[in-house]
Amino acid sequence: MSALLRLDQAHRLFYGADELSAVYRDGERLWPFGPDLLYAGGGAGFVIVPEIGGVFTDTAGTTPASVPSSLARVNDISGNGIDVTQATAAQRPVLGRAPVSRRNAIANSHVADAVLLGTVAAAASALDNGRTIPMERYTSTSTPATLVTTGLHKTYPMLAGIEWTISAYIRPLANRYIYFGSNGAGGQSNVGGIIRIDTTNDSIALVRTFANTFPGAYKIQNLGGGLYRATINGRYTSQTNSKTISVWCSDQLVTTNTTATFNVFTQAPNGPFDAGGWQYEEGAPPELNPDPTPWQHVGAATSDVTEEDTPDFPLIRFDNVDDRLIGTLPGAVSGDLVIAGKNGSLIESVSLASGSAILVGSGCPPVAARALIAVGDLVGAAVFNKTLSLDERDRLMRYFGKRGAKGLYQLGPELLTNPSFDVAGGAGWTTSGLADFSTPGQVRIADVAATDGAISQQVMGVAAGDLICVEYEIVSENSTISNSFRVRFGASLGSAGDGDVLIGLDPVGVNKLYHQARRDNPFMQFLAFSTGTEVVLNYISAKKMTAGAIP
Amino acid sequence: MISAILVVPVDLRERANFLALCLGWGPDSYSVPLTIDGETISHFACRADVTESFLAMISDASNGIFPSIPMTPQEISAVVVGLLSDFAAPGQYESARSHFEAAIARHGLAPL
Repeated sequence: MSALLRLDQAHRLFYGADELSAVYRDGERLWPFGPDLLYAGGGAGFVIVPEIGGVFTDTAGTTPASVPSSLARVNDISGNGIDVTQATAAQRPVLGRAPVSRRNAIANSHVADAVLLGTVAAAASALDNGRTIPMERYTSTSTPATLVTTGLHKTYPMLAGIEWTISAYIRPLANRYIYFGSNGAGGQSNVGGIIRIDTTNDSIALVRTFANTFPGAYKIQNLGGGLYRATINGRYTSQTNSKTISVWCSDQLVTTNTTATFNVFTQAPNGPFDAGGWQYEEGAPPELNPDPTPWQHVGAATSDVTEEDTPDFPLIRFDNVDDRLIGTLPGAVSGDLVIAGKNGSLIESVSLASGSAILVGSGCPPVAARALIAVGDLVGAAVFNKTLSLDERDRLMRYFGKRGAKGLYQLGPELLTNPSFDVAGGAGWTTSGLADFSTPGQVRIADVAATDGAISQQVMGVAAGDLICVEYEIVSENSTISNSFRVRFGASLGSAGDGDVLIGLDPVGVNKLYHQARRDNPFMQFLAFSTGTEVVLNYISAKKMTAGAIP
Repeated sequence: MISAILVVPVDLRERANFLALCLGWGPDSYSVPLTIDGETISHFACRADVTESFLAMISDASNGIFPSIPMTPQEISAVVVGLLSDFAAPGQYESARSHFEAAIARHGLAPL
């Protein structure tokens, strides 16, 4: 039987006892695979991958960048020399790093953000399965008989509908009870709940929940040596920006509490206590499984994530406001644009003229700029003057996957009713102003005499947090500014609560945008916004996106 | 680092860009067009990560203490007076984009 050696899937190779760094044939590298191999023979285009091509804090490329510095230059590794740079400080993206499995999304995850009625000082770190957990010691300065809650607090992000899991390590020391809440003590509003742990028998009780916010679970682990890890999972249904994890300890028993705030303690803690190892994760609650996920350290920037005993890989974070990297294309390119990110990856067709500026980030051709919003932190990007074969796509995605990218986004079924306007009268669509379905298979939307024309539809089958791909074909349009024609998402017809995507400069033809739903079943409106704007559309399609597996 | 949204009216853009250039930020910092009426550009914005020393400089300039750069105090003061600024600590917003959207909305502005 003959053996087959799949070089493209090899992680390490040995020749006898010697480990190989590369395999060449006739001067051509066969292994390890890198995107540069896809340019063998001289294809136009470029590839940027932060760890290999070289990343710098100056446009000349003399000072290597380190996390979390901003990037003035990222070198092209295709061999074509199309390096991308940014001379303006405010428009530079940031170099980050993360393990392949990035979970913790809380800044400065090793320290609390606020201390209520007390002081905080360094404490001996803890160990969880041999992993170091930084801790801080809290000492109360509150006085007895004062209605206060005391303790340590940690801010975490909060988006409507996103399921979250928060956790922290706690050493109660001389205190009998641990209280762990998903919102700040002493001023909490209505998110999540508060659990109480009796350390004499490790019993756990839920002492407070808040309306419509706490469908999740909670758990406490006694890790031995007086160390506990507490976890709460939940999902908040309204939009806000941030909430606060809170930890406080006491000998005082609080059984239930239904008041607006939790200011019910009448005595200070029975001595100091320690807390640390804060973690906030989006998604299902892995912490509640028998094997909780390890704590990850996050620096002052949430793009800087490391985990003990786990390799991390560089990434580039754009602010999606004005950050961009710019290069110049020496020759025309017509082929595939590949954008690999921590949330998912996309391959789109592009045609770029010779001499045109290549932009990575804000200001890109719409499809590329919007793709960055979909893929999240950038693991790598490439432009090829050809359409990649399936085998080339797979090899490329394996390459990016090893550096922390998720697989290519897969599209779900159509979510809209009458997406191509084939049903007479625009069935399924609600109209306002001038929205004309008289031509079969098309809709004409216009702003006449300062009255916005619009068509709207509720996108059913979408949960808050889902990523939606909206594709639409423009037959004709007269807009000259991005603001004149827009797609608006919100809680009801015409509501702008979830933001607008400005598409007034999209060219005639097929275009796409990506939207992360901020609520279940959002309303979507195509809106002619400026007086005189008139756009004819051939179809509008909305589909859920799910990052596929790395092949 | 602190996320900063900095916004200037159209007629101050050139001077604000020059001030940023003098501070070592490079050219054309204020590059994002904004609008009040939905039709015309009224302001330009930039978003950047800044340090406490930048906040101190803005505060100093408001109090008549100006950095040593090739601009007159009057020119610097005109930019600082016209500047709309919004700062956010790490973790305060889910993303830089979220901060940007919230900040410009507070001033009745929208992207153009």
